[in-house]
Amino acid sequence: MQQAKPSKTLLRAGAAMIDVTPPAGTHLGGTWGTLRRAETLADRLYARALVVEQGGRTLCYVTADLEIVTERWATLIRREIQTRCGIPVADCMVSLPQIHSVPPLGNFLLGDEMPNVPPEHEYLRGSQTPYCELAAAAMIEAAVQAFQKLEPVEMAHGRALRDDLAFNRRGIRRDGTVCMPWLFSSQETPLGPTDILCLEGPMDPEVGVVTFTNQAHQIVACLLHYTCHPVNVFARTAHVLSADWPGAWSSGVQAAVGAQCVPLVVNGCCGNINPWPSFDPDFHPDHRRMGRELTKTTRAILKTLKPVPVEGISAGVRILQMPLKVAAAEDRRAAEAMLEAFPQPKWQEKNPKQVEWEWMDAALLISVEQEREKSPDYSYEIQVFKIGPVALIGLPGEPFVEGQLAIKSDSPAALNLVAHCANSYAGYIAPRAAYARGGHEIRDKPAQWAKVAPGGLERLVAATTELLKELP
Amino acid sequence: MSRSTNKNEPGSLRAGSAQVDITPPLGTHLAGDGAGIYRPGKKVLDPLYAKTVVIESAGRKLAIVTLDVICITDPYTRMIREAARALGFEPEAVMVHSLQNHSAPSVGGLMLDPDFPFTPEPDTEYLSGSTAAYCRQAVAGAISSLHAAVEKLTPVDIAYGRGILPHQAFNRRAIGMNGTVHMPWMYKGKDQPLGPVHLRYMEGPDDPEVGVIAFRSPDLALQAVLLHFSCHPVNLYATRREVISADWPGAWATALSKQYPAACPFTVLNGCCGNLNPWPPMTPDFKPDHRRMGGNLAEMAAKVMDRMEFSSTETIEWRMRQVPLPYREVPEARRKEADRILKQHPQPQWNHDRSAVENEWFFAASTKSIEYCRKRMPEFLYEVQVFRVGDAFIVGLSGEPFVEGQLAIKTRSPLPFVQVAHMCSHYTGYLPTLEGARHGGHEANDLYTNWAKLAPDSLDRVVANVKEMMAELVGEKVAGC
Repeated sequence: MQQAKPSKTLLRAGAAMIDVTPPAGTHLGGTWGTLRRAETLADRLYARALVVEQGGRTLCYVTADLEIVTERWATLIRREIQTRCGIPVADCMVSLPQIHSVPPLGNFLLGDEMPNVPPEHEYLRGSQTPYCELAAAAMIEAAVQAFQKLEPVEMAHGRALRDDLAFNRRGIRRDGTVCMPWLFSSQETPLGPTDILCLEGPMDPEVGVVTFTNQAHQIVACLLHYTCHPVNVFARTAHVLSADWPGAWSSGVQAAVGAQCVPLVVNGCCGNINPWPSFDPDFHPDHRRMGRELTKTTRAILKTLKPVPVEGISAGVRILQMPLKVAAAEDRRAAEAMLEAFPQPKWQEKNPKQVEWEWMDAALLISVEQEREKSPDYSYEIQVFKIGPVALIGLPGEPFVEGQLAIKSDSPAALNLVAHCANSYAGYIAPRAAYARGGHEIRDKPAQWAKVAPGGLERLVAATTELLKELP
Repeated sequence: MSRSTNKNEPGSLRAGSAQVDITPPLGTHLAGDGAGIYRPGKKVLDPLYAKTVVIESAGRKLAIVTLDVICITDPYTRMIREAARALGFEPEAVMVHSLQNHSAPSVGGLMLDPDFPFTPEPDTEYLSGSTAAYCRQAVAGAISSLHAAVEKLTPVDIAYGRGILPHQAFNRRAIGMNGTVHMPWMYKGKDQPLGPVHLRYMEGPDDPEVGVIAFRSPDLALQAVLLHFSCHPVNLYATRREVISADWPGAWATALSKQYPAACPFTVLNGCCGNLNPWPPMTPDFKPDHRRMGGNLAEMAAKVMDRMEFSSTETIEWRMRQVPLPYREVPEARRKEADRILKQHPQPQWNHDRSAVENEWFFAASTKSIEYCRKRMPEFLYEVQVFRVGDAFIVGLSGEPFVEGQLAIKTRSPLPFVQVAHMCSHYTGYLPTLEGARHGGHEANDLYTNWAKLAPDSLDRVVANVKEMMAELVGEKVAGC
């Protein structure tokens, strides 16, 4: 495919979206040890892509209303986009918003090389290859279509604050340990969750919006940034397929500015952020309400936007070698013994569709141990796009929001859109202080979602801000 | 630790409480502003009280004396303790707590060090931060309440409880877009539809705990109730500066008194709220309302009290320490600048219409105050009190520690219930966290004012001491102590 003749100052953008709604029965991510079949449909899912070009440099941002992307599938998508559009892998970012009521893109729980999972139960590894192939093809096609639609645009950006839609989800108990606050009723818990002393950390109230408007004064693409686990639907029901708040926000923005606009949600570092308040009784998580509120704020931002000059675009990648956690010898021995005794999944007697927790726990640990034996370090790819005054930052896994806030505070960019779950899955990455308290995100035993050793967040913040400052 | 019984055995716990009106006359200067801003009280919205809770066991007794004022300084605390000594109290067993109510006077000057060479004229007495006449009135009221509480001592059982009430107090330190610290204020949605976009995020947590310790006599009458929450009482200071009011602590006690008309006075302990205000930082069109806040707290406290189970205890004990804390090092340039201003204007430098002292002079005097304080005390002697009553600790800290310190004290406490009272005994200024001190802001400002004079690790030192004292009171050993 030929690129148009580059202009040094002309900014061009193209965007596209393609339906990737899976068929009934497809496994949904967010839980483990059982097949969580999609039974009913709340929202259709889309692959979405934005391509931006200036002076011959072309950057591509690809996303989809899916959960998590593994390195295998991100690399496949990036390479194919390079082949078909000529955009280098380093200039293509694949990031998913981590919606928990949709399928993931790749086996993020158990490594593909583990022999313990029969093909018919592939979902125990995290995903199902046939759907991954379908979704990846759609994401590639969306990027190609976006590339083909490149047209002159003006860019504008703005921000607002909403601290009432996302909440820190690590409650410090009176004994110093950490729990994840859940929904509660005032009737059953009239005094509130009295075992919780306070919340561990902050949230990021920033709503960031970047628009690309063509010469016909139509917004052709809109990057939408907020930071929260998309788990409104997941918290209430297991088998509904929904794009949660990213989908609701996207639909709202599209309804507001026109169907020609491709909304692309950039979900930030929400490793410790949930969409419900910890201490409010009778709270009902509602992805449509959240989407409506974010749309309302977006409309307020849109009213204030003015085009800004884009004097250059750039991109950079930095690879950090992050040490993996080492399993305690006793835990490893126990896990090996379990898998030796039960080389195939051990199903619960009372619920034969659910793998025994102990078996899954052992498999999760061995999966990380096998990865660590290949390499003691996780190759963590930090990717930064700079489009004039706006930075788009891709970080693998689920860093805690403290990392994002530190990056934003030190960044030279006027607006920073941080995309978590970018290009591979590294699990949670928490500040050092949080490791001492434990909790779901920091369990003692390694698992794919809790495999990076302490110190990772501090290092990725330093490396990211360095990269942001280096890029022109 | 406690055993359930309905008996009233000799030597078992007795409690009594009382309150005395200490509402100042109209025209009394209200504290909470910088020096030189005369703010006479023009209307009494709610009465101010001095309240005392006395708890006695086996002939030993402790007292918690609270005043609905902004601050009480060391000389006045000593007067109250001396009066208590005459009633058989050890001074270490008397906690004197000011609610830090910003719609009330101060009992003692808090803005400048007492040794700062400044002698106000009678018509400018308020410049020191307080007026002698009101100090006398408030202290007399506190001592009267102490006497009355002792007279009411009655055999009691004790009960403890807590509830969690969000959205009443909010962290007030916002990290701005440029990394500096801002104190969020109210704003109109119409004027700022995108919110306060100069802010990036909030620095720290709040403490949503509503704590209740109640003492009930065999006839089911409440003899004393300690209520605990943590927030600057500034609802009215932010909206109606001319009124005299006990703000949310007063409204809380009043609302509960209506629900329990036969009960004793309800005594509020305000926790470490150095960085907590009663308005949300990012909610447009918020209207602070001390009565709404007091009503919400009363509703939760009533739910807690409705579920309490009383038991007997004989355990009361106390500890007091003077913790030596280093000062912040005032940079030479700032010292010289303060000296220059004060040499030029040894007495207050007024603004053009004499409505306030020039900020430059006030801040210079405030910085210089640290030097005078240091001359008197090479290390600042910070008073910490820990009382144990049954299964609860009541901790008295001076100044305005950040809430993180209180949360650290509560975490892994050897007893299940902890109530912390800030602004006890004497004024020390803010005690920020290490991170807060690094970020700066009003509470850790780079003008080195008297309210931001202690070294950055002071909060950690205070917390470590409290934890040691708690451990002592339950007979535990603390690692490394």
